[in-house]
Amino acid sequence: MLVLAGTVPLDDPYIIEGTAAIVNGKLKVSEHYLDISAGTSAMGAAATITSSYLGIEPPYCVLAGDLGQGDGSTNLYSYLRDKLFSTAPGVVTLHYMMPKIYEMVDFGFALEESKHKPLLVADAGAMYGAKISGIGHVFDLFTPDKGEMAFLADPDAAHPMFVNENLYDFPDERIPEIVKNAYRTNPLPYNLLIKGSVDYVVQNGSITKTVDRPNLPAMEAVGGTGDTLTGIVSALIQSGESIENACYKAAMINRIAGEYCKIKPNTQIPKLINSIPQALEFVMDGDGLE
Amino acid sequence: MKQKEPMSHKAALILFDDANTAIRAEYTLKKDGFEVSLVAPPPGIRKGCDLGVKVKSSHQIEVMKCLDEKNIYFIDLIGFTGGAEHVEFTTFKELDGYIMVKSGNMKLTFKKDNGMIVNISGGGCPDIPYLAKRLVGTKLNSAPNPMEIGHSLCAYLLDRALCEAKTMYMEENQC
Repeated sequence: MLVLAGTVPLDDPYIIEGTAAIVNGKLKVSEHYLDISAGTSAMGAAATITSSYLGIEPPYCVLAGDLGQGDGSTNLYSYLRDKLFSTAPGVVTLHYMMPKIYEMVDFGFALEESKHKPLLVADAGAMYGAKISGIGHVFDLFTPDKGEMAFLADPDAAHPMFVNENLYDFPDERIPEIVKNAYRTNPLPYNLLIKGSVDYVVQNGSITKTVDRPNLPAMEAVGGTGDTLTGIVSALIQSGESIENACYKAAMINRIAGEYCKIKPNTQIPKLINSIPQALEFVMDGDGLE
Repeated sequence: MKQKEPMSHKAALILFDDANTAIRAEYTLKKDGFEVSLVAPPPGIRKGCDLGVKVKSSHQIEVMKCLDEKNIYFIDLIGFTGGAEHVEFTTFKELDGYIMVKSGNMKLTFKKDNGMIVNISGGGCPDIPYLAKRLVGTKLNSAPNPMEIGHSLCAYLLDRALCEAKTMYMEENQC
């Protein structure tokens, strides 16, 4: 089972859990119908569509409303600590949530005590929390963008806001050096998928694959394109792909979906999500692979 | 490389429950003429996505009084033993009639000719999807202030991006 956990922009901080479905353009979880927009809902929708294409069971979503006060995040961390591992998930992806050191460390302890070790993916606030808690290495994959890569590479940064000025807006040529330094100075997952004008697949500090076509500069501006990538890669890993292959294929699928929907800076993320099945067909049939 | 002037040989750090209160405190204290800066609390007392305000030790009594008067609640005041200061750094990119302004990990894109906010991307704190819902589709000048409805460091960076976008739009339309 693929479990997706993250906060959604709702007032109610209580846990919403259930198998995900797309119904009339909304993400349905339990009796809730959520708008699909940047954040956990875009990640959930992309994972649900990808799972359906791959013929695997739909993801199980564990969500909590949080408008930034952190109450929903606290409930989510409690769920992850107390309940997650009893469901024996195959892959767990953690997404938008308030980075909280003590709660993330508790999650690490719960994982250690659990007999079951799922593959763990983190993006967004969960990735920030894992990094500042010093437990990045218990995860299997992080999916940072370039700015977040700088944060992962700076051992002192508590948040991307505090990244050392030498790491601001660096050129792509510096990625290999920054990745190497990041692995030297921080406990990080074995795998990274760095999202940007070029997507980099990293294993243990070395870049193993890159994806740079189609080149769509508007993707960076559109809120949710990183979230869809995280959703796609999570479903591919759950289907049995190696993490490295899943990263490579997901990067291609996301870009091709952007191309199919003729992405522009004002495109909203549901439009790209609607193009994912067509992009999956192109890549998974082998047409899009080198 | 030019070294930063130390604010004081002796400084104190005020700790708050959340980032939003720290940002309000910094804004208020600066307005009242105090020399202060936002910092990430040092490892060991850091809870996660939190902020502290660094003040000169010699000003700490007046600063505490000022915060009390303004009903800004702080949890502690300790000696400053270290903590990273952030660098104000925004960049922008033109994309087919739109401008994307980046501040740290946050990006705000607006239409160049009418100032409409069309997308917000980046960030990882839970208020960002909510802020995106509130801001996208509004004009720069009527957009709600992210720090008034947000609570996180990502919201603070989005606030910086919005300020920069407003300045750029105004300059563009004055020419």
